[in-house]
Amino acid sequence: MPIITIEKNYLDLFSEYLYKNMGIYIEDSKKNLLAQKLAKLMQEAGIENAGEYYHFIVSPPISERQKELKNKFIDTITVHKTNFFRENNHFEFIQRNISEIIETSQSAKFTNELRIWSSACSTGEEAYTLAMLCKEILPANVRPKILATDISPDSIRKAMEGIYKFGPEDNITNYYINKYFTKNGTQWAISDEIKNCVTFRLFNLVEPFPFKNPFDIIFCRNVMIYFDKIVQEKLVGNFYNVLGKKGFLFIGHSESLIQIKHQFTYHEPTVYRKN
Amino acid sequence: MFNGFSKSQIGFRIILSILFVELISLASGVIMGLNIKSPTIIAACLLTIIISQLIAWFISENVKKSVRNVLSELAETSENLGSLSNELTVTGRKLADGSTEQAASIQETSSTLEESSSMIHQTTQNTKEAEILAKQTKQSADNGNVEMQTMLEAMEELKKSSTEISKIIRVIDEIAFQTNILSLNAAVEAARAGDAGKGFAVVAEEVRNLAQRSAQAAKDTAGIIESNISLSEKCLDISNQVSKSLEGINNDTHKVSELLEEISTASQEQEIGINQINKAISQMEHVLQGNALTAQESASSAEHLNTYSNTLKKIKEELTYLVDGGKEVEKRIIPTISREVEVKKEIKSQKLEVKIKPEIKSVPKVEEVKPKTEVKQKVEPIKLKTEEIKPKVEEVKKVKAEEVKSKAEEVKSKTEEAVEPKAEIKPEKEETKVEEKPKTEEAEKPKLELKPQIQPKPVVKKPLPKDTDKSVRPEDIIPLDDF
Repeated sequence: MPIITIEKNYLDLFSEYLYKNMGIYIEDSKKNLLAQKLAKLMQEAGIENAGEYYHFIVSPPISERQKELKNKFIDTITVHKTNFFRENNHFEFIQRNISEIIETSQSAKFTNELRIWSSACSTGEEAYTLAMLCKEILPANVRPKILATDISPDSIRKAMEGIYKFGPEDNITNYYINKYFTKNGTQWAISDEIKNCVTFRLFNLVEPFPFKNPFDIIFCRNVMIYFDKIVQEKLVGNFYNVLGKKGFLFIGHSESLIQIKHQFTYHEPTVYRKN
Repeated sequence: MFNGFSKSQIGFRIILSILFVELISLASGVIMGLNIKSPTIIAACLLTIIISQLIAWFISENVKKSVRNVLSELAETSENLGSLSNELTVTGRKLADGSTEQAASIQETSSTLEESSSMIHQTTQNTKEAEILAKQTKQSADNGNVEMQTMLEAMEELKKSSTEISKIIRVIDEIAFQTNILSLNAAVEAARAGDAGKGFAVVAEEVRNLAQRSAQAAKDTAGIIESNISLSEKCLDISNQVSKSLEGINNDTHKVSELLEEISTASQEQEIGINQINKAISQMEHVLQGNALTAQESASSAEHLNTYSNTLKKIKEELTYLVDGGKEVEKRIIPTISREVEVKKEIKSQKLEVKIKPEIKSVPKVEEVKPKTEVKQKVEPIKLKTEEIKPKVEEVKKVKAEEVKSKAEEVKSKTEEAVEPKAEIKPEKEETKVEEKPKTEEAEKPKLELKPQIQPKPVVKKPLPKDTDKSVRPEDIIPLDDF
C-alpha cells in the first residue's frame, strides 16, 4: 500500500479552505493531525495526489462520487463527540427555570411553541435529549419545536435514523431509555413521539442565518472551541440576533464569552441571556 | 508414505520413473529387433515391458496419491486462510471504527483543554495585572500615610500658633482696656481745664472710641482663634483616624497583593499543567489517528490475504487437474466448489449452483466455454491474477511433457481453457465476500462486476438501504427557511 504524503502547501490550502468555509481554525500544531486525516480520506477515495484531492473537494460537486467524497471529507474533518444528557447541568437548569422560560417566551405566548435550536447537533443526541426533557417538563399547552442542525450530512443522516448504542459515557437513565426507546438487537431506536419534535437540517454556522422567528433557547456547545475569536464573535452576535427577548444561550463547559465582545448578560457559568 | 515429500522430490520421482520406463522399453525394443526369432526372448521382452509398465504405473499412482494428499492439505489450508483473513478483515474494521470514535472523543477533549488553557492563560494575565495594581495601591496608601503624618504635624503647629495668637490678642485687649481708662482720665482733666481743654476733650473722646473698637476687635479675634483651636483639634482627631484607615488599607492591600501573587503563581502552574495535559492529549490524538489508520490498513491487508488464499485455491485446482486429468477435475472441483458455496450461507438459491455447474462441466470443451466476449472482459482483472499461476502450471507441465509429449499439447490447451472458466467462478466467490462484509470498499465494487442474476439476492440488499439513504440528502429535502 503506498504511503500518502501531503505536501505542506496543500496542508495550508486545506486549512485555509476549512477556515473560510467552515470557520474551523487549524493551528500549526494541529496540521499534522489534519495530514493524517487527509491521508486516510485519500486512501479511502483511492486518490494518491494531494492536489487532485484538493481540487476534488474544493470545486463545486458535480458527480455523485464527488458529493459523497465531500460529505466524507466534512464528516472526517469535523468532530462528532456527543452523548445523551451530556453536560447535564444545562438540562437541569432548564428544568429548574422552565416556568420563567415559558413566561418570557414570545412564541409560547402566541403559538404555544417553545422554540429550541441545537445548532451543532452532530448525531442528534443533544436534540433528542432536549425533546425528551421537554416532554417531561413542559405543560400540556406548550409544544416543543426543536431545530437541530449540523454541518455534516453523514451525522444528520444518522441523527434522522435515530438508532443508538448506549455506552458507559452516556448519562441517560433507564427511565428515559424505557420510556422513549425501543430495543432493536443491540441498538435502541428513539420513538416517533420524540422524533416528531425535532427537525434535522444541514446547516453551516458560518453562513447567514435564515430564520424567520426568534428562538427561546440556543445550544451551541463545544463548537466554538474549533473556531478562532473572530468567527466566535460573529457567531455569538448572530445568536444574539436570532434569540428572542430573555432568550438563553448555552455554551460548552470549557467555553466562555469573556474573551470576546458580545451583548449577552452573564447568567451563570456557560449560560448567557439576551436582555 | 510420500506425505512428507516436498514438491521437488515428487517431481524427481516422476522424472526417474519416466526415464526408467523409457529405458526399459528402449532396451526391450532393441532386443526384440535383434532376436526376433527366439520366442522365449520375445516373451521375456514382453514380460519386461509389462513389468516395467506396471512398475511405472505403480510409481505414478503413488506419486499421484501423495500429490493428492498434499493437495487436500493445500485445500484445507487455503480454506482456513480464507476464513481467517475474513475474520481479520472484520476485526480490522471494528478496530478501525473503534479507534476513529476514540479519536473523535480525544480530539474534542483536546480542543476543550485548549479552550480551558487559553482561559487560564487570560486569568493568569489578569491576576498579574491585578497584582501590579494592588502593589500600586499599597504604595499609594503608604504615601498617603506619610503625607497624613506631615499634615498632622502641620496641624499641631497650627494649634500652637493659634494659642500664641490668642495670647497676643489678650495683650491687645489689655492695652485697649488701659487706653480706655487713660482716655477717661484725659477727658476728666480736659473738663477741669475749662475752655482751654475743650479741644483736648474731643481727642480724648476719639481715643476712647478707638480703645473700645480695639477691645471689640480683640474680642472677636479671640473668639475666632478659639474656634480655630477647637477646629484644629477636631482636624487632628480626624487626621488620626484617616491615618489609621490608611494603615488598614495598607495592610489589606498587602494581603491582597500576597493573595494575588499566590493566585498568579497557581494559575501559571495550572497553565503549565494544562499545557502538559494538552501535549499528552494531542500525542494520544496522533497515536489514535495512527491506530485508526493502521487498523484500516490491516483490514485491507486482510482483504489482500483473502485474494491470495483464492489464488492458492486456484493453484490447487490447477494441480488437481494436472494430476487427475480432466474427468476427475469434474468430480473433484464441483463438490468442493458447491461445498464452498454452501459454507457461504447466503447463497442458497438453486439457480446459482446450476449456474456454476454447467460452466465447470464445460472445462475441457472449448466450444461451450468461449461464448461471450462480454464475460471475458469482466473476467479480465482476474485473468491477470491467473497469469501468476501460469508459471507454476508450466513447471508441472514440463514434467509431464517428458512422459507424454502428445498429451502435453492436449493438457496445455486444457489448462488454457481451464483458466478461463475457472476464473469465471471468481466473481461468484468475490460476491460471497461482499455479502459477508457489507462494507467492502466502494472503490472495489465496480471491479467485481456483479452478475445480473446475483444482484437481486436478498442478502446483497443489506448495504443498499444506506445507498438509498444517501440519495436522500437532508439538504435536498426541505430548505431551512421554514423555521
